[in-house]
Amino acid sequence: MEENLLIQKLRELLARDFVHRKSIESDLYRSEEKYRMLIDQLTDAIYLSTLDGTFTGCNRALLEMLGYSYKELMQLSVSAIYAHPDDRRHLLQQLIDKGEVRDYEVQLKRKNGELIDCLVNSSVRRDQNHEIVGFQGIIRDITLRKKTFELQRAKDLAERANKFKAEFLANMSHEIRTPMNAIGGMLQLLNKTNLEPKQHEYLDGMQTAVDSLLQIINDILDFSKIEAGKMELDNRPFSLQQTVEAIISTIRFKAEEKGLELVLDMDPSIPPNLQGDPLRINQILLNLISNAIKFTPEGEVRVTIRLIDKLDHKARLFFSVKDTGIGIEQEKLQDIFESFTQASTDTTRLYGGTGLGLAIVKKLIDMLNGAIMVRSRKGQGSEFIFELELSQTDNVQPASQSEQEKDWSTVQDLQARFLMAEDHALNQLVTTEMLKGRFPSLQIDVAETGRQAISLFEDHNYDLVLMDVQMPEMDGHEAARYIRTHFPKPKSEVPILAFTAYATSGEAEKCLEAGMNDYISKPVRATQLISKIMQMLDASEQFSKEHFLHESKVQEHISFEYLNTVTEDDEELKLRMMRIMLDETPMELKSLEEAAAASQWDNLRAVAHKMKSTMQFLGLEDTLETVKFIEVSARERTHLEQIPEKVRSVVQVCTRALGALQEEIDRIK
Amino acid sequence: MDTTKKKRYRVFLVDDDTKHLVMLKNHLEKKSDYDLEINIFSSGEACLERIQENPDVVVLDYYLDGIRTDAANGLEILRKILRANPGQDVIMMSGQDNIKVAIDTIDNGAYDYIIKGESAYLRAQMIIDHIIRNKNLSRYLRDSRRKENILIGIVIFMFFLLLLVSLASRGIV
Repeated sequence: MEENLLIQKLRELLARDFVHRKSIESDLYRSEEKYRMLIDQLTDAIYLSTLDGTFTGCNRALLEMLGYSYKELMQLSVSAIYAHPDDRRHLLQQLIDKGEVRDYEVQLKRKNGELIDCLVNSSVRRDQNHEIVGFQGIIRDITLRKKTFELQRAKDLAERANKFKAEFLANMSHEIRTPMNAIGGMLQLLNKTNLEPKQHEYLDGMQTAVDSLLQIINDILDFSKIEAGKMELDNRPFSLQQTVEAIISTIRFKAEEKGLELVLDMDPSIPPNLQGDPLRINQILLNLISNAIKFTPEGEVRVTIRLIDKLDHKARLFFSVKDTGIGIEQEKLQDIFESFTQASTDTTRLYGGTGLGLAIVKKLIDMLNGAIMVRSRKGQGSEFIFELELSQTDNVQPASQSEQEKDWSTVQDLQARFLMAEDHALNQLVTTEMLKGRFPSLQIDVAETGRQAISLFEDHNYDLVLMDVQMPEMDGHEAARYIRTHFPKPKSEVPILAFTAYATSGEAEKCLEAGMNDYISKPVRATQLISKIMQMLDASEQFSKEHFLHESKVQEHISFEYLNTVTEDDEELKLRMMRIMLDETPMELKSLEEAAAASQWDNLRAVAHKMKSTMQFLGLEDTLETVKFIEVSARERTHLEQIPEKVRSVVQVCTRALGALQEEIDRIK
Repeated sequence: MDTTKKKRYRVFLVDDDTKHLVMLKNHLEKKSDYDLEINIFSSGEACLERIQENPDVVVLDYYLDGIRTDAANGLEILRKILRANPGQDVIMMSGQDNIKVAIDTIDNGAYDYIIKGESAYLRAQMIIDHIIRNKNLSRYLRDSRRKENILIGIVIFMFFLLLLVSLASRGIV
């Protein structure tokens, strides 16, 4: 009985213990389960390994990361998952030395051989005796993060490169334009000299080549500007009629050269006052029309413009440029608007061009919210059609257009003194020759740097300053700003014309901001330069319009009658005399000016005295009287106030006479 | 005049105006009756340095400060030339049609005074030729006077010789 009781008690106890243990076990299990789930759900991989390099445990993340099954991994040597086995050695060394390693970057190898970038945080595991038995750690896959970082860097780099590209293009444009300006200018000057017909022909060829080279540079620049989103659209009132007629008149000769008919058919109901960017519309039409002319051997090029409808001050316009040219193959029609594409590679060989023209046209029309289409059949011609929507304006377009066209051709000569700041020697020559060719009495002083320009400007009175933007020491902007701010009125208000080689639109604003009145971009055309200068002088308050010399006022001309008489037609002696005068007179003129400017009357008398013979030899009788007047005035110290004006007129007459003298020498030779 | 052509006469031209120098030199070389060796100077100072060479004629411009403002004027140079070479023939030239200047230069010993102008080269050539002819004449005169003297000497000598001979033949000596 007692035994039974004892057994029973024992059983109870055992049972209780079992239950208890059972509950502990299940608690334990639950808790382990909880942690296991937690660990398994971690995206970071967790591992346990032994000192000798086998895995003893891991979570699911590690399996997913490496692509092995649990069983496979447990049988694998730890070093097998390292892309570079050396990495494990380094890691172990550090672990043993320090007990733990943080953020160790390592490359691991997946089962399929793929490499992944990981960050390892690991620590050592020790037994009771403090001996190292293994390691545990967390591995984080940073491949994606690294990729994003690299992408970001690549993107930054690309953006920087693009910026460099834009700058490079602007610079290249400048670097090319400066010598191109010299070449173009020289060609224009050369064309004016006495040449054989054949030589004129060659020159025309060169001029055409220069023009097309410039066109290419402009195309590339425009294209990159559009690509970079830097092309800004103007929005101002303009007359479409005038714009289109201007294009037709500039390009007509090209059509006539090829014997093509260029027809303009323009809807008279198109509103006269539209608002938009006439420059871009001009560019689009010019491109399309010159393309049409280029690819049309015979027949006609027809430009049609129609008003589609008019709604709320908005006019929708239809444009068509149709030719009877070589046409485009059907399969090429799609990518005709792509950059650097032409109808065929043969086209490039036959007709030249960069293939940028139509790409620019397409992009410009896109920018203007229009749409372009092409219809073409090989051998029968092409038609480019586009639509634009332009708003109408109540503002009457400024009448300046007609004022700009003021006729300067009656002005035969210009009694003025200009300062030219330009560092490029050839361009100095080109500009000087262009201006002197037109206005023989014009005096031009040359400065090679901005600083030189300022110091010349200080010493003399100029009627106009021609300012190259790019110069060493002090650039054109700075020099212009200096003139505007550091000199008293009215000296500081001298008209300044900027010469820029940058074709970018920002350049113009920069010039105007620096206080310059107007700008002209290289390559400079003589007609354009002269009309700008005349406009500026016309608008200048200080410049007396009496210095515009019309035919009646043209100064006396050089005459060799006296020289012929005294040399008794001895050509050799005559030539010798002319050379002496050509050599010595500039120096005498300079002394004359300097003495007058410094009020050194005795010197002035001496120089004037000496110059009399030159005037006599050159048959400049009126000027001889002027020189005599200067001599007497200087000697007697009378009429001194008239001397500067008299000196100026002597200098102008003589400068011009020297030109004629040079020509005569060349002729005799 | 064939005999005189063979001799070269030296002329110094002084002017600060190269054109005048060239024209005058050319004119003189072509038109003068004599064979001239012409040296040109653009300043009085340069001419003075070589005045010891005793040119036959110096043509001197009155205004010489057209190139260098501190150059001495023609009048000063004239005085210096005459101090160095008394009796030197100097022709003054100037654009000044000022009688005072002309008298001034003549008073200071210039041979003649020419006003620059269309006929100045011709005048200069005529005066130079005139000076040379005068020189030749006076030299000729001098020479011929010497020859005359010698001749007279010979005649007197012969006379005495003859006298002596005749006296001797008469048995007087």
